[in-house]
Amino acid sequence: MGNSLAPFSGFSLTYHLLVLLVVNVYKFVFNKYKIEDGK
Amino acid sequence: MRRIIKKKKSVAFIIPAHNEQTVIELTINSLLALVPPADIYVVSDGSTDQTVTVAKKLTPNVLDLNPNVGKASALNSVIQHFNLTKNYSYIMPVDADSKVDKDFLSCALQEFEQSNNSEYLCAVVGKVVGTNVNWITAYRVWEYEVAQTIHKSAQSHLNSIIVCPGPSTIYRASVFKHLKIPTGTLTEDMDLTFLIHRQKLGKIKYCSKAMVFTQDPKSLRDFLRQIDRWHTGFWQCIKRHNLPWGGQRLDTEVALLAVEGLYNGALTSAFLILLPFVLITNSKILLWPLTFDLIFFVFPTLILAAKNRNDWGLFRHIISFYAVRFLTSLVFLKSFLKVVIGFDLGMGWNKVKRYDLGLITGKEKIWATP
Repeated sequence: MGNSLAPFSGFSLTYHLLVLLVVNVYKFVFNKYKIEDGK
Repeated sequence: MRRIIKKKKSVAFIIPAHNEQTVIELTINSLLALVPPADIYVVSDGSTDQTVTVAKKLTPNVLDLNPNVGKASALNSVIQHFNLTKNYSYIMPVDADSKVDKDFLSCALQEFEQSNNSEYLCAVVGKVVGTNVNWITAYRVWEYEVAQTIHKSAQSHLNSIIVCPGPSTIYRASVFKHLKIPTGTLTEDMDLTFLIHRQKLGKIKYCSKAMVFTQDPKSLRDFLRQIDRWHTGFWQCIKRHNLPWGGQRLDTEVALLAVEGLYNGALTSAFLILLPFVLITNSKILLWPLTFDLIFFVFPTLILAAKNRNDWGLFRHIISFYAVRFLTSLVFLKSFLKVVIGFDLGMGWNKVKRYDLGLITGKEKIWATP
């Protein structure tokens, strides 16, 4: 991981940020659905 | 006939040490807050200083190897000598210059327990927290935060973590029944991680709450030698495990990082060659990429690091950070040329100079939880 701040980088950073975004959106929706289902 | 079933102990900490008299006491003391002395194992790999004497005062389990055999072999020797895979459920190697946080075990073991119901976890990777004492260690603090908070977290969700760092990973003991820590590369931790993926021993998960504090090079020379070693090991592991042709998620992840690193190195080389001409002819043209880089990369990631570490002083080093970023790209390219192409520009690796963390603690906030 010693190259994550290199100049002109951004592919892996964007890719990993997108992964985190998708995971967190999924978790948010899943939790909301679970709570509403519980009602 | 009554059967006596010996219950396994929980966690064994193993510390490989080669001339670590300055720091090993602090490391063992940090572990004594988590486990009794009997669960701490030190293997001295050909130390010629007081490492063995210091260690023997703090734990009964000290293996003194002479002559030295290398870190990976030393770790294999201590696991075998004390029969750790049979006696323990989990094994955690710890570097002699590291301090394990008091909450590490509770966080990591909770991850293992939760995983039993879903996917089988074979290792939990904790967060490495650097020691910020000058501009070069400040760069490493920034790098650790970006690499772990963004890259490693995403890799954890994809089950494609490319390295279980030496000082911050706890393994199920069964991992070492299946395989030995590999030798022959400069990054035995990455080599081991690739092996775990290849042999499909289980999932590797990153846990940001399980922290290990470590010290990093304080001089640019030591820093460059260390990243040269890491990058060289990266290419050695790629060659050894035939990446990216294994058909696993790891292959995709490593291919992305390798191609991006080469692209960075090539573009950085071209940029530095053309820089004098650009400065003479039309220096204003540099403002656009610089502004773009500052707005979309440097400021957001530095804010992330500063917020996580509660250390806004990181911004003071922003100009020197640019120099280091360019240098790391060139070292990556150089290590590729050395390992893959066979063109060696020369740059040996020496052990990074240790410093007494106990003395620094009074002046700096290095052990403070970020």
